[in-house]
Amino acid sequence: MRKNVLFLCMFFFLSFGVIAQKTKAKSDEPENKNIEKYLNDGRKGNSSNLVRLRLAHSLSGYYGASYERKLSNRIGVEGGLYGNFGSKGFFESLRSDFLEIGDKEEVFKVKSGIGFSLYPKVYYHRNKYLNNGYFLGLRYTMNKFSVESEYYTSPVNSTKQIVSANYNSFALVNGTHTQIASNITLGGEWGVIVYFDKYKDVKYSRTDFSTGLPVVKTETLRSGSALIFADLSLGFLF
Amino acid sequence: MKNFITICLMLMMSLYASAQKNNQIKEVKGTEYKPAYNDRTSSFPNAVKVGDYYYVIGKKYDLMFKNYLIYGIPYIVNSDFKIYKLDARMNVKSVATIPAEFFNKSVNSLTLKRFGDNLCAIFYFNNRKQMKQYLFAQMIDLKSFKTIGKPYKMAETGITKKDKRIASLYQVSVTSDYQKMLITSDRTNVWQSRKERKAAAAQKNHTFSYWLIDKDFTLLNIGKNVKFGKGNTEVIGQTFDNLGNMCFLGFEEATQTKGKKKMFGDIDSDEESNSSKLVMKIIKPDGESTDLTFANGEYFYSATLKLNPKTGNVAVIGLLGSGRYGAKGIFSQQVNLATAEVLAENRQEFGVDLVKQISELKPPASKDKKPAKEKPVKTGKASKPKSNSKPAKEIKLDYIYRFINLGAVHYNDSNELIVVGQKHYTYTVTYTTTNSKGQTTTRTVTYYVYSDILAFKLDAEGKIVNFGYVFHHYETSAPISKDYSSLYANDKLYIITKTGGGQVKLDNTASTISAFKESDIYKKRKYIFADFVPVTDNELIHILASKRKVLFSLMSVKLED
Repeated sequence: MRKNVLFLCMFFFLSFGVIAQKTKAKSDEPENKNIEKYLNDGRKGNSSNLVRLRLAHSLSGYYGASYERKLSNRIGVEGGLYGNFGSKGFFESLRSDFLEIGDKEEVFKVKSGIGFSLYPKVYYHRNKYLNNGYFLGLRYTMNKFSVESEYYTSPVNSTKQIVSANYNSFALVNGTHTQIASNITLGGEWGVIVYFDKYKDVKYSRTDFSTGLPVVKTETLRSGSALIFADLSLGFLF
Repeated sequence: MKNFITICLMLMMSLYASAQKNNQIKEVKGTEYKPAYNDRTSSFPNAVKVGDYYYVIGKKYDLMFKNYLIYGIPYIVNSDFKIYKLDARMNVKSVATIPAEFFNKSVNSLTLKRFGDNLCAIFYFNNRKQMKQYLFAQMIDLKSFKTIGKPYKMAETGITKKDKRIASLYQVSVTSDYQKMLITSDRTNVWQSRKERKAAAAQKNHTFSYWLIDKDFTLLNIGKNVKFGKGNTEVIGQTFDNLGNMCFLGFEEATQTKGKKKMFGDIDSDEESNSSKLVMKIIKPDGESTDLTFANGEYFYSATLKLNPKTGNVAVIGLLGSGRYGAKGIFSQQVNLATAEVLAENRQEFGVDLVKQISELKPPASKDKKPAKEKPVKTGKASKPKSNSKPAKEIKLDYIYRFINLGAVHYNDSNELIVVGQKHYTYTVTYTTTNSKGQTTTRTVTYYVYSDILAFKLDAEGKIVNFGYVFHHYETSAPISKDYSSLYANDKLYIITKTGGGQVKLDNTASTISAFKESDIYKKRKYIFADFVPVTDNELIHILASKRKVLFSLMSVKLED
């Protein structure tokens, strides 16, 4: 009896040993059906879609986002939509609170605005994805906005007016962006920008020194300049 | 007059014939290949020969250096892998692409193998979130030269959080009939800081894992965290036969003295306190394993193993040494892989007479150009190199000084062993740089010297029958395992190094090998990649990639009948 028990025990342990050696987990088998799970390291993989928040627009008082999509290995197009809700923005604050008309400056206040941007780019390296990139682009921005200003109709009475204005700029930009964490990219751009401002039918008053009364004039104001420009962007890959 | 001309002609022909005889290297330079601007390849880690064609895998690194100006961090974007198919004239016949999006992440190329009837490109990826290093394999059809299906996940190994840019932990080998692939992973080969060692200890890093995979990607055998030897054991060699019997050779560091860790093959290790030994694990396809130990108490500089397909025996060869003096002899023992039967152990000491004979050898006079030395690259303006090498150690008369690296073992037709090794040492140079403000900075660089190559023929009892010797010098600031490959064919031994190659005569004299002409090319051109990639035991492919062009050249040792 004792011998039989020992024999059974030995058989059990031996068979267990053989099973232990031969058992292979299914996860150990080579497989090619779902390799994405092995490549998932928390960072967004190749992505052709990127939404950006831009610093330059925000500092101009325009808040919004742009969306970029790679059309081919080399070409990408970014389009942006921004809104201004009565903010002059940091850049305008730096410049002045006045609108220069002739030899005088008039006080103005931005009421609202809407901005569009179109930004075709040529990437230096061929890649269908937007996780990283170094590019040359032509950035066109158009802002349509309204400003409020006052003009005097008599020495004691003033009238407020809403002036519709637009801003157009073209920038030749060298830029880059890189994936810094999970699905976030950080980008930097620099280049030369040419911009044109147009304020339509601005009414302003000038004192007629012979009568001592204000005379109301109307003028369409245009200005423009070329500047060296830089921008930073924070992007979200999806 | 006619006689004179005839004599002159004969003389010239005989001179030409002797010159031809001396030139033991065949160099084939291909035509420059101009890839498309965006297909420029700057890294060529591996090459393989299948039939008459050579295949070289490369990866394009889009190092966005201009980003450096903005973020201070250059980055590498996902890049396509290119596999170049070259004919024997080193001309690019076609290029296969494994697109970057195939993997969706930036993976690293490890090697290129023939597996089954096709090519297999092997990649690894460090997954920092899952703390795993994964190994992937992508088959490439040799006829259409296109990828077959999706890549396979082959193996996985745990890594620590610190292992962000860890190198491959895997060794991949394929049987001689290309039907099975053996993958091993061994964390002890990876440099680790103290903290990392602690973390790795928790992951049983003194173990190894293996995967035996059939050509149709079925898992034949697997072992995870297989305990190998006692304490800290490093896998130093692996081989397996076509049936799937696997053999692993390891260096078991049984004792550790406080303060100083004894490293395998460390020239500065002290033999007195070292009780290292070689261990072997034989695993049969059904999982049955046998553990063996060799030469307990001996100190080895290096060891290797070689399977003799004719007899099924695995030869274990160790270089008996001393950290103070050099190598004192050769240890050899054979084990039958199928039965795990251990055959007689042999220890052959060199002895004073043989060491004297070797040390008195002088380089034979040669008309061939001497191999070009790679000069240390100096940086900084006014730098005064100051040799900082340690004082020469005492030389014992029965030790071959600096002979520490075993490279290869070959069997001849009579199943005798030919053991090839190399002298190796390091030295450091301190460079002092002074800038315009008078501030001085010092930089210490370690140079790794791969020196003379020795070959010994051993009889069946492990006794040294005769030896061959090649004077050689190659130094680099990046350590490599060895700078040569050897081949034993038609009862002759051939070597090919990074500077030249030829036949090594086993006649107790020094042999001359021919230098590459192509080595001059380094000085002439700007390149983004230039190196010799071994492709077979007697062939290297010299790859030179400039910004716009890739030039492949084949360096091969001429084999005599």
